[in-house]
Amino acid sequence: MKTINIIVLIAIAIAIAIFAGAYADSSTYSDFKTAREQAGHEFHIVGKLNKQKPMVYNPLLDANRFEFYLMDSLGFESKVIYSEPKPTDFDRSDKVVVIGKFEKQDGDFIANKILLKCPSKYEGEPTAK
Amino acid sequence: MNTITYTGENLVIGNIGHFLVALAFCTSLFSGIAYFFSTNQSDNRRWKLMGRYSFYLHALAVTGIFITLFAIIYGHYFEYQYAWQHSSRSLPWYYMLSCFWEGQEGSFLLWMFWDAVIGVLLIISVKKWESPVLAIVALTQIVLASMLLGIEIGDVYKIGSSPFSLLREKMAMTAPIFRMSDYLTKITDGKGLNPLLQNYWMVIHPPTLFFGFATSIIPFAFAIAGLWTSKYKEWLKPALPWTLVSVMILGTGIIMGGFWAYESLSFGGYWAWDPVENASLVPWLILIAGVHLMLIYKSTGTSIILTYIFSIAPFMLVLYATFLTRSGILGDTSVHSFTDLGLSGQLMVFMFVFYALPLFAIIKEKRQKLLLNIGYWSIFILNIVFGIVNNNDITLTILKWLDIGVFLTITVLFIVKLYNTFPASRTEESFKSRELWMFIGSLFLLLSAFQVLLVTSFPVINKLFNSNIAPPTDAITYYNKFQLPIAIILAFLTAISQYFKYKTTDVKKVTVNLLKTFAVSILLAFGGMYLFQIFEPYYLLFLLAGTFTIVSNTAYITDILKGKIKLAGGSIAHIGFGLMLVGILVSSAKKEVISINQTVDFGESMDEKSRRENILMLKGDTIRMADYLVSYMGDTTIGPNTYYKVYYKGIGNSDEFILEPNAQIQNNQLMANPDTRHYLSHDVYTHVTNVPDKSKQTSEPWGEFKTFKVSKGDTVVTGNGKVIFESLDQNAKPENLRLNHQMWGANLKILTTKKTYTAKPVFAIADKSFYTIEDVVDEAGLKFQFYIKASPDGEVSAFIDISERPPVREFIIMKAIVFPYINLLWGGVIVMVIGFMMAIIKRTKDYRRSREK
Repeated sequence: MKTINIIVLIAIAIAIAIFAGAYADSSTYSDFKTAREQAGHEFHIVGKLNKQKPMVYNPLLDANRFEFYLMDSLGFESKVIYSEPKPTDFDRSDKVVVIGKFEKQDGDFIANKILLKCPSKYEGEPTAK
Repeated sequence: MNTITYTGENLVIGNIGHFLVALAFCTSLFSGIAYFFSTNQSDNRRWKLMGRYSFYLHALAVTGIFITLFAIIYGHYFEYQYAWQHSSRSLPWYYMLSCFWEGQEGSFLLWMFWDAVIGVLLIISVKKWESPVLAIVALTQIVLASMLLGIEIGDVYKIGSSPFSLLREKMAMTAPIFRMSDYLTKITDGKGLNPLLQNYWMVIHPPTLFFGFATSIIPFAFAIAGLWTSKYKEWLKPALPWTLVSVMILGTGIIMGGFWAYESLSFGGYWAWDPVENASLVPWLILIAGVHLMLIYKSTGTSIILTYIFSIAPFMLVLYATFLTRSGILGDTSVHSFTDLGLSGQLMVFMFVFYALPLFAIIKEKRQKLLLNIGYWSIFILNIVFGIVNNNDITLTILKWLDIGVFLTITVLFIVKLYNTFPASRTEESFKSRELWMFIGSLFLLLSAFQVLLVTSFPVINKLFNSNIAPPTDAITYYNKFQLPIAIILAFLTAISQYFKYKTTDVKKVTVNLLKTFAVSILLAFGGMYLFQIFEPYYLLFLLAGTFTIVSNTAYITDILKGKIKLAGGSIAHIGFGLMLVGILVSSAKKEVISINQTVDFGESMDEKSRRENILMLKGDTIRMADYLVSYMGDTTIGPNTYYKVYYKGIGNSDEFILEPNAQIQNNQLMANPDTRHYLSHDVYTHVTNVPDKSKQTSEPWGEFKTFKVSKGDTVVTGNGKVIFESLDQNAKPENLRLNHQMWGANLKILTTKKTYTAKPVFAIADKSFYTIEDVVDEAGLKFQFYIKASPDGEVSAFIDISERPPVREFIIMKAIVFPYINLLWGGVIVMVIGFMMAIIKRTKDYRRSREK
């Protein structure tokens, strides 16, 4: 076998590893019910803010704790706790993606990242926080 | 409906714009056709000249569109939707340029403008390659100009979106304002430019990036031209310097974006693995691989097939990136339907056309060509027809799978054709040859690009296969898993490859040289370990790889090239790459968030998860952060920006400075810009993550007054703190007050948990009446009235009325990060760009010399 073929084969093997790695590390868009059932696993959950329920951010008490209620696309609702300051354009956003997990089945959803879908003006601009 | 004659509109300028867009479209179409015939009739002079002059006219028209649109924005003609949507009267002229890249139409225009510039430069410089290369450039221009046409066919289908549309056309007749003939008098200002774009980096970063995107047409056009004219190999010489230009400009554009993010976005870094960033990184990685493959081919005649693929791919990837960022598929991950036939439909049509172009160019045999034409165009028409009347899910699904099939067929056919055209060489590649090492490097660049592209394409994959996969929750860890080892391998390859000669090398000599540089690198990396305080073995390997690249390439210039600096472009670019790697390693691995909140006790579940990286700073507070004492000194508002003054004082040294991170508050939204103190060895970076809404706080209602009878030394306990009546001021009348009223003041001391305040409410007796002067301490949330009363039995007593509300707190929530040695990264970039420039000069000279022969 020619050297070059071996090298190409190795490259293909790495490409497959990358593919598998992407699949293994990927998350899924899901809902609160599923996430609660599989507590401990991380999910992306797309939802709408429930503005009727309180949004709590009291920086004087704790600058790194923000709580709110989110209703997912299937209609399940959960309290979400985010250990960062309240994103400043939060009130304006109509759709919210929370990334995180339930640590306990009966606990609150702990988000470690929040993506906001705002009516953003600059199309190319990421809205990740 | 009655027709309304509108007054005050300047329609002439818009009509000029429409005319120029139409002209640009027609001239590019004509130029493309002329160049096409010129190519097919073996460089027919008459067709060629026609193509050339149409292209010149086209370039003029595009410049004209640019000027017209700028005139509309500059003249504040808000009857035009583009000016109203993206600008306002208060914008300085240089930010008016930024309006171009805020909107879609403007950015297509920018791309088209750069393409026109590139086209003209190519006409001047490429001589005998003019016809086929410009035919491809003109085709791109037809496509781009059509994006600006704004022609509506019926109600459903529109071609392009014109930047010269009137506001009333875009807004339809829904708004009652457009029923007034003098509606323009009501529109006094535009909606303005996104504050994030009002930054000097945003004036130069997007045009540079778009120039980079536009330049990717060059290797593409040359490769297609080579296949088309069957001059399979000659195109490489003129294409090489141009491809280097593309690498340099796109790379500069990307890193400018990173620097902009670092200087003015508040996510705390220069790279976030965001899909939009990734979409521009992937073509760049492939371009770099392409340059190396071209060099291999030029020197040894091998790797021709991959050279073709890597020359064609960047432009395809740029088209794909445009589709990703402009179709809304990225921003909308779950509820978006496939029926959007705005510009995204048009973009898909173009990808469809360009993707087949290489296959059309490589197929020569008449019958095959006919078959390809019939098959391809019938599917194309099928797509257009069903794309317009797409009310049936089943047809759409069939169409989707058909298109995936077409995509795969084209790919396979093209690769098979390439193999037929260029039979694989029989010679055994040797590890003693430079080309093999470069080839391996190119493969690793491809793998790096593949990983980035794969995850960035998740939304597309979801749409195609109705799947539900989301990007990894921790992007940085995920990317590092593969990108770190790939970077290490690339660094080692960069260090050693140049020592090998093409074809075969005296291995003994190479080994001796490399052992020498490797020994030096180990010593330097060892020093770096202590300087940077990096001790993790994995990072040390990374550090060693970067150092090895720097040392080896430096030694190559001094020892092998004997200081012939004209030949050293590649080595210098490699040194820049090594510096960048070290800079990236140190600034990310040793990045330290110093604003760690240590006061709050977290509940059971939050303890480990909480990042606690943001800290509350009350005005006047001083908090220790790493080696600094940091205090918040208050804010000042200048124009739309509020600046928050944060004072840093070094502990145990005389270092002190003030950072003023700022923010604009618009519609309740805080747009924060960081401020950074730059040192040679590190940066101190600060941004505000949240601020209290002052107006909201001061509009809170006061509670009811409660009355307390007090005598000197008494203490009243309120919800907001203790109030002590310290003494009575017998003559509290201000000196400059002319009134002949007698005034007494109560000297009050207020003790809250945080601070002590004073207040002095006043009681005054006028001729026949009395009144009080309130005193308010907002920061304690207390309001006081004071009066003195005599009871019927003659006893005189003092009373204080106290009203409470939540205290107004002046504070910021901020985050501070120290980035060590980030200047190595920026410096590395500059060195790399210099290297590219030198390589461009050298390769251009080579090409000129070869032409003169």
